[in-house]
Amino acid sequence: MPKYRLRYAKFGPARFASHLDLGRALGRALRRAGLPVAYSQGFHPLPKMAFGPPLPVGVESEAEFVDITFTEELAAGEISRRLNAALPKGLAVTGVLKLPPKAPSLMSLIDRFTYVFLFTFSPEDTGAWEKEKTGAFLADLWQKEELPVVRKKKDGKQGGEKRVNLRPFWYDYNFSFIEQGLLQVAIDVAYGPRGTMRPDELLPFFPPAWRLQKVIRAQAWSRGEPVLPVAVHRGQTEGV
Amino acid sequence: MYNAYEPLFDRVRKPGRYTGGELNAVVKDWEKAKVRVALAFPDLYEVGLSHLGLRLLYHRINDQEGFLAERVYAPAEDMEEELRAAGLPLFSLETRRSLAAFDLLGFSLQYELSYVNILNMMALAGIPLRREERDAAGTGFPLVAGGGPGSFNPEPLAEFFDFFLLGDGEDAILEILAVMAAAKEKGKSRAELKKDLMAVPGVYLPEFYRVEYLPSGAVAVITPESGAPPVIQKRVIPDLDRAYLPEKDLVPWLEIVHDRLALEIMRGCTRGCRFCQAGMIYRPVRERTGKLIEGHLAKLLENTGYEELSLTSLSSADHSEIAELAGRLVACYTPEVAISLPSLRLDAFSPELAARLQGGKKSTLTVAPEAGTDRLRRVINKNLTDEEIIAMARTAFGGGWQRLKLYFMIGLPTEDQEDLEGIVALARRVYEIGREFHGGRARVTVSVANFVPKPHTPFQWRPQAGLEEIREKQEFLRRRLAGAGRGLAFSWHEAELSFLEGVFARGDRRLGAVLAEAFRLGCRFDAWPDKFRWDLWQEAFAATGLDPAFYTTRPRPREEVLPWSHLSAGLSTDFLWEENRRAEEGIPTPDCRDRHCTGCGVCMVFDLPFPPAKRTRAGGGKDA
Ligand code: SF4
Repeated sequence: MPKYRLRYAKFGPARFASHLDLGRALGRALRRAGLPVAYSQGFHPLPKMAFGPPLPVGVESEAEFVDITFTEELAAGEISRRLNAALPKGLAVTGVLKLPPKAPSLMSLIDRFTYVFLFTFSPEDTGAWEKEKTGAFLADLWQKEELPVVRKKKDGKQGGEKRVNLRPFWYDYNFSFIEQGLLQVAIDVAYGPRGTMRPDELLPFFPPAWRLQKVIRAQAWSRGEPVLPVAVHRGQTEGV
Repeated sequence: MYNAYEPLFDRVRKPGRYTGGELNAVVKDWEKAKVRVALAFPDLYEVGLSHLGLRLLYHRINDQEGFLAERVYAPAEDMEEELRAAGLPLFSLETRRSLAAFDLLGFSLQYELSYVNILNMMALAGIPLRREERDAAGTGFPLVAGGGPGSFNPEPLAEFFDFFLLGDGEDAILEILAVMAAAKEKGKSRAELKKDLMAVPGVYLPEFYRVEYLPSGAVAVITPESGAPPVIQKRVIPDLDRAYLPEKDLVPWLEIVHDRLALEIMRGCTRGCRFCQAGMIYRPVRERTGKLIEGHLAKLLENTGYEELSLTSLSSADHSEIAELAGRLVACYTPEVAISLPSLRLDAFSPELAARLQGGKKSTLTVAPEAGTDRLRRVINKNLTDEEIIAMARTAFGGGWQRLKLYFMIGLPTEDQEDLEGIVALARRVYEIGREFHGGRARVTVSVANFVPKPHTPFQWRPQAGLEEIREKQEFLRRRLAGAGRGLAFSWHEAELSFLEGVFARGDRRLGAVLAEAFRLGCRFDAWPDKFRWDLWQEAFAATGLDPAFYTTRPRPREEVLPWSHLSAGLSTDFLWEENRRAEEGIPTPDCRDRHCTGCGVCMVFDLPFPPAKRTRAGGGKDA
């Protein structure tokens, strides 16, 4: 049965939806759209969907992915059109690609994410943080060999903790001022079996004067190439 | 939308409880609305949004031009702390406005142990709790109203509320809003508006009723004033097929308690269980026809995409077309959409269909004997015999189910040791049958609730079992069921919770002081056993000098003026008293849909044909 890879954005009211919430929301949207999605067997069949790496709750994203199996061939444009008409506010399909048989899974494909942090400043700090000082601060942070955080162990029954160095998971960065007092910092983060970091783990290392407005997962990468980039796939890709 | 609440969302658990933006949520133009309503549920989002009635009213109001409804649920403790720390008012989900900005704040009164949350929600929005304080403040604050079963004795809330609506709300709410719109347009005062509301049938304004008490503490007399009607009659939608039904429904992001599409296929129940308040106050029985249900479900599924739908009512298996209807729905929608029936009777369906409706044979099947012996079941008019229950268990286990839940109550009128022994014997017997079929995999859960006498039922005069008695009975059952086998589990309700529920269920206006004090002491979410603070409640009773036993363990004589005697569910008091007497003698009263009218009176009051909607299936059957 044909399988399609969908790229979608998650924002606004959807940003607090957990991975499970999202699965339900998408399953319901597929049914509303009347798309011929394939179901698993059994008493409680579930739509055949495989999501990419989970997004931390509260973070918006322009680079989410899900592979969906349908029972029949459909034009990529039709999938995105019908699904977008049915999705709740906060979810939007931005690209669809038909997958060749045996295509690698999203989890094995994605090895890097770009997170964009948007910061503002209090009126008294706005002037102080200009390009040079910001650049110097980030360069300094980049030079560090240790960025230690303490993680709670997931299923540690006794609530165990673990010290982790974030620095090896930080691949790249750049920054710009969208306007005076509105700073955008893009951070590239490793993803994969050797580990990753959540965007919020980095926040304590930024100056207290920087006020976080939002974090966006802006791009997902596989071996240096963006995964299903929006520009190429908006609607017209079929049977790649 | 980065408003003042956004930073709070990042810090609380399950922010989706507060952010709104669900599919099919309605955000109307605030400025264009003549009357703005905040529909409030005094429990968490997951509980409140699961409630069908409020969803219905939400769409009912928003479907009308000029009216607007938004929603609000009780904030969890973490959100309450954040709101207090930030100095921000409790807000609506749709446009994040303070509850104080609305014209009407309407609470759903589903259970007594949510009443303190009501006070908390008002306080968090800066709305004065007491009606008189709001009146004194002029026209600025919303009218505070209530609806749902709690309206049939809202007296403990009387000093906080402006009005209550008794009975079906679909049409009444629009009449209320029309009166409010007209008053607003004409610039009428709050007092004038309330006089106007008095003319809407079903609307009860407690301030127009003076209550005097006897030295014993019982009510002496309830006197209507300023031309208020002596009795408030509940509202009844006579024909459900012509009643309002929205064609879309909210689809939440979060997983809620009843996370499925629900359609009410029938309202009311005439089985006449003497302990059951819902079975009394929602009479008479009215059905939606199968055809209408099917057509409507198709639209709702198209607009929501839900993966499960539930045909709800007090006893869905009693719907006269249920087997055919369920069969057609199963054929049409399963397995992608699951179909469930809240009260299943195995004898009414083929085993395959029953399994489908029950979510598979892996699920737990519930049978509700309610009491331990045939005798006590005749007392409460739950006319099932031990033999029938055992036969049902045999059918269930034999049909492939491995898990059975037996639902009982303790503290019922006339209950004695033999009845408790009966629970044990029945549970053991059912468990044995389970083992016959499934060996060590058989599971039987004995769930035991504590009986709470409710207003407008034949047992409204009966004493409630005291704390000690309940604890002893629970202890007895625990001891006797403990050694009966690994697969036999016993679960019970906290005695104190049921006791407090009983206080407010049959309480009077003086209990408002206890509510206010408990709120001040920090009680919240009393229906949640892990949040319930019996110590604080005892302190609240002590501080106000009221004795909880007066409202619970005391038998009430026939002549006593009950605090709700000016509020009518359409049932004749003579009928209720006669049912109470028959209970004493263990005489069953048949379902009026099976035979003839048994004289509760509701059909006469509302000028409806009776007996209502006769069941067509032969035999009537027994319920589970
Ligand atoms: S009035 Fe008679 S027929 Fe109507 S609900 Fe009551 S008992 Fe049944």
